[in-house]
Amino acid sequence: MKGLLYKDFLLSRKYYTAVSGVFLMFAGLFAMVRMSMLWGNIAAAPEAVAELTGSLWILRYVPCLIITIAFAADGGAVFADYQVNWVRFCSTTAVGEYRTAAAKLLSRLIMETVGFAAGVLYVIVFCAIGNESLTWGMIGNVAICFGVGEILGMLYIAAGIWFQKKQTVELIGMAVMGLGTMIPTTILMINMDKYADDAEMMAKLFKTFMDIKDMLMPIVMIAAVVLTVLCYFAAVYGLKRRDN
Amino acid sequence: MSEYKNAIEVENLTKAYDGFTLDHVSFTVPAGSIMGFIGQNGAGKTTTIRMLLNLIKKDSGSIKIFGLDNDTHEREIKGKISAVFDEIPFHGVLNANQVSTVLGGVFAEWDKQTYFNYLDRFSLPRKRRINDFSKGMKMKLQIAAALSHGAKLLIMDEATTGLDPVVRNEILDIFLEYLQDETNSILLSSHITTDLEKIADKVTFIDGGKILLSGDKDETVERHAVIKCKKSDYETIAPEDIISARLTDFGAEVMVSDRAKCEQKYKGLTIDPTTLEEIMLFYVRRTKKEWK
Repeated sequence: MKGLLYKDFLLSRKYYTAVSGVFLMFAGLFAMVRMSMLWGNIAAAPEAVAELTGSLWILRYVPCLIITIAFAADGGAVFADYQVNWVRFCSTTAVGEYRTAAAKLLSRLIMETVGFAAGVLYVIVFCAIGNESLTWGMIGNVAICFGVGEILGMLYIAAGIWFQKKQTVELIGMAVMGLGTMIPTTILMINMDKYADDAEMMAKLFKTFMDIKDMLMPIVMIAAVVLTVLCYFAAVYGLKRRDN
Repeated sequence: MSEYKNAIEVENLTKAYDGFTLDHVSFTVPAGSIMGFIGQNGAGKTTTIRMLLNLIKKDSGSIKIFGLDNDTHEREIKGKISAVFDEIPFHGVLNANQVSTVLGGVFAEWDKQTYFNYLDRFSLPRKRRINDFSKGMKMKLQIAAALSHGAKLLIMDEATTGLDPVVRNEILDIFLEYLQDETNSILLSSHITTDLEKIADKVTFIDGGKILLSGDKDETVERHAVIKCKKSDYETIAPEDIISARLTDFGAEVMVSDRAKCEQKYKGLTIDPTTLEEIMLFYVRRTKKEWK
């Protein structure tokens, strides 16, 4: 198992480094906006501060979402395993499908945990900048990002093992993400004329988000655990498939 | 794992594909021996090997490795075998050092020292990416890995194909050293018969999914012979003695499967010893009987 984890890490380390770079870039960007709201140019315009305060409350979690989703999307190691016949090699050893699948899922879980830790650290720094106290709710929001990343990561691995083709899995991923964004966007578009202006719409959206946020966390966590188990068995079954 | 007489016992193995059938294949690889598994491309060597490794399902028949059924004792068996294919299964971005760390976590009995000894012996760089290795270097790395975790059986599928004679010889020497431990065995599938002639104790010849010959290599080669004769003499050879005959402008070369009998029967004709390659060549054309 240790060897399999090490291999996956070696294969993906450049990707992980790149993702970490993007995370740091976005984290820095939002931190700068926050600093500007407190002491910089934005602070000079109270109406801009008022407008940004609400949206920044949600937007500050973007770096957390970026790192957890991007870590999840790294299916490169799965496809490379098939490309070089590593999977066939493993099938000729005593490693077995259960350990191979477990290692794949565990390597992703480890990276998602790293993403979660980075997200928490970022939120702590963000709060410290504004002298804001850190709440469990904020950690919970990062945990939602972690849960979403975990769900996508597990699906990515299971689909990678089943279909063995990067393009197919990416297509499925895009379809899932597309549906995930299309549904709320459609609802928003339908209800657009109910709002007097953008500010009212944002305020309403913010309120809705706050209402469902507490409910969202247990749902995402339960879904992540259930999908991890399901994807593990799907991956084992996928690896066990023999040519007929 | 208890005492076993044969490293591999295959009995009546069958597998049907559209257009190809592996037809009741049976052979044994005695413990401590090296078996050459020969046949032309598409003869069924790889299919047989994949079934030995449980990579594809068999339709019927039985496979025992180290005396154990390969379905019910799969894990136990796989802990003690090494399979080497014609393409390296390690990722090209890794180097030999990293391969050792990875395999150290894969094989319970990984012997790092043995692995690095092989690397030094093969003059393989430890820090260069596998992508930058030549085909010969990749194969050497694969063999170094295969021999470094205490495997008692090496299964090689066309592993020496495409390698230059120098590298092939180097690898064959390593195999002979590996067999110094008499509990180790090798099944070496290849269509390069000269390699097998050098090192194999036993040989199994498969063609069109059927085993044509299986037994001691020296005995097989000695039993067969080529009668070189004029066309008029060729007419006198009984058809049942002939495997197949190559007709040339000057006469005929006739492969016979019972040299001793033919030496008695056709005293006036030149009966030459043969090679595995010639045996393979004449057997493959056995259905035509006569060919040019």
